[in-house]
Amino acid sequence: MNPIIKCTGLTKNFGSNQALRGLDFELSAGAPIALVGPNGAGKTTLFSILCGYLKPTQGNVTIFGHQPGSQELFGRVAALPQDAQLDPRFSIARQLMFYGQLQGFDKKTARSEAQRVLELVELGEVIDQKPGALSHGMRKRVTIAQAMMGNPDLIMLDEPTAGLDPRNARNIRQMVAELSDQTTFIISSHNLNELERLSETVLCLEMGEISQHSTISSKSETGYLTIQMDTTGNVDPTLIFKNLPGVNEVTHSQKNEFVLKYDMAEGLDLDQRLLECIAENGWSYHQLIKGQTLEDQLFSNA
Amino acid sequence: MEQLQRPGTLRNLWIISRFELVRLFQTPRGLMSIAAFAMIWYFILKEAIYRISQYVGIPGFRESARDFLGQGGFTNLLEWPVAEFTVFWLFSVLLFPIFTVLISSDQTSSDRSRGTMRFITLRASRDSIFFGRFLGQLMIQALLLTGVLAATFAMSLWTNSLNWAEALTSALIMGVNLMIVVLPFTAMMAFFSASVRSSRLAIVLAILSMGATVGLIQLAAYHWWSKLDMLMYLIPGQQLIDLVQSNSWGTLKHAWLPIVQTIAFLLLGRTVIARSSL
Repeated sequence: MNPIIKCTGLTKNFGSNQALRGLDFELSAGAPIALVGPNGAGKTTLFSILCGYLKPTQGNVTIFGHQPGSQELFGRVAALPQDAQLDPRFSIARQLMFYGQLQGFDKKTARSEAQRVLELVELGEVIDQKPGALSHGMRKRVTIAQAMMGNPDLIMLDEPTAGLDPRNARNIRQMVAELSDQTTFIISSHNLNELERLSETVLCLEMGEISQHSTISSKSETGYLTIQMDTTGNVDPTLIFKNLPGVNEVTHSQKNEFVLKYDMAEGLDLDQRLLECIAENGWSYHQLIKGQTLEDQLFSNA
Repeated sequence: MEQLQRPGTLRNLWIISRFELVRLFQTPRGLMSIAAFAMIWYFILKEAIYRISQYVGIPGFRESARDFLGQGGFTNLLEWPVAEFTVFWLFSVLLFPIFTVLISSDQTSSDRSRGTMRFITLRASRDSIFFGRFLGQLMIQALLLTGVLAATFAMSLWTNSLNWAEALTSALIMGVNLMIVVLPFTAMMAFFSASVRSSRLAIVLAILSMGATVGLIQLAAYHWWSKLDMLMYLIPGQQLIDLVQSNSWGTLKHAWLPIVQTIAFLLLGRTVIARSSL
């Protein structure tokens, strides 16, 4: 499959500060792609270069074979840029229609397209209002809606659910999941639970470099079980879990949470034996997860 | 859903320039600008153009004025056939550049500051945006100028209905000339608006840089080499004195300078906007 995004030796300097350090990666179309990393890792800089807002200091980027910001990408690539706001002087309809017309729609179709994308984010009724009349969360959803205009092939969302209430954050996740068979999403977020639910591919940036580029459901000879315990009396279950057949390592990742690393060949029924072990010891558990959380995958070795 | 036309640079440039008219006529800020412009011109027409034109029509006054204006080389002012347009010409040549600096100061600055430009650049090239906004500002100025010329024409008909053909010709000549006059000022504001992130800062920068450049050139020409005076041609409006001293279609012989200045400012502004981070 041809990559939709190809970066070669991508470097961006701001004065003496090197925000991106020679990134090399390719991303293919398909399920949503997660872009993660701590603050200052270079996520927004990478987004800005991919959108054509910033020019790289060195290296090359292509999206669908074209330079970011080039005319061939108008209407095919959309984004929710961080901190970008609509013009407070115009109604939402006026602005979305303007964007639609720039994408090639006539006035009437642009209006109906504006209505459609606002309904996607459950804000169809605010179409004739000005941004100033909306709450922060509603304004954010409107800016997500603008990215959906004309069904682009690639949509980049920088912190799409930051500042949204849980219900609307869930709606945005649902919308991304529903549209992901026709559009490739790249989502930057600090909410790893959210990315875990949506994404298959993870691009992890740290200090301007790619620290991991992997698929969440990658096949491996090593398996993981994550168990969140309720009660274990006063006993540390680490040693008991470690004695289960096939288990290579037990990590106490968080309070009452243990990650069991095991050999896939030997530990096919490890989940059942783990539950038996918990019952035999008279403990209770809160949640059993097959595999590692994205947080553990990314940061357990940090 | 049907995408009817393929987006292109020229098509988007036209959409963006038309949107500037929406910005003027359908936002409170734009309407207030029009109201302020109309108010100022109402007083100029009523208190200056009408009153002075009454005197210009008196033969004795014309002789005295010719002696007085002749000292500054402005006798051609009196050659305009319609008195109202004579006075209009004097005011408009000086005032329109000032209006232009104020009205066209926010071509791209606030959109970049707010981040709105990021939404637009995903759909239109930076060239379309820069030149579209410039063209939109020219359309606005053409509309405002047409309104003022029409008011002056109406006033001249009211005071002397026999001169309508000469008044119309004067209006046409002055309209063309004034559009050429505002070209470099609009382009200069396009450049400054692309360089800073607030319209007020663009205005301040434009005034300061024009003042500072004039001062530096005069100082350098006085102290080092008098030919450095030629650098004054870089300043928009440098031809205005010559323009006021001309009349009829002969005024167009001064058009080359503002046109060259406009091209220079547009090239500078385009370079800035193409390289700037959003």
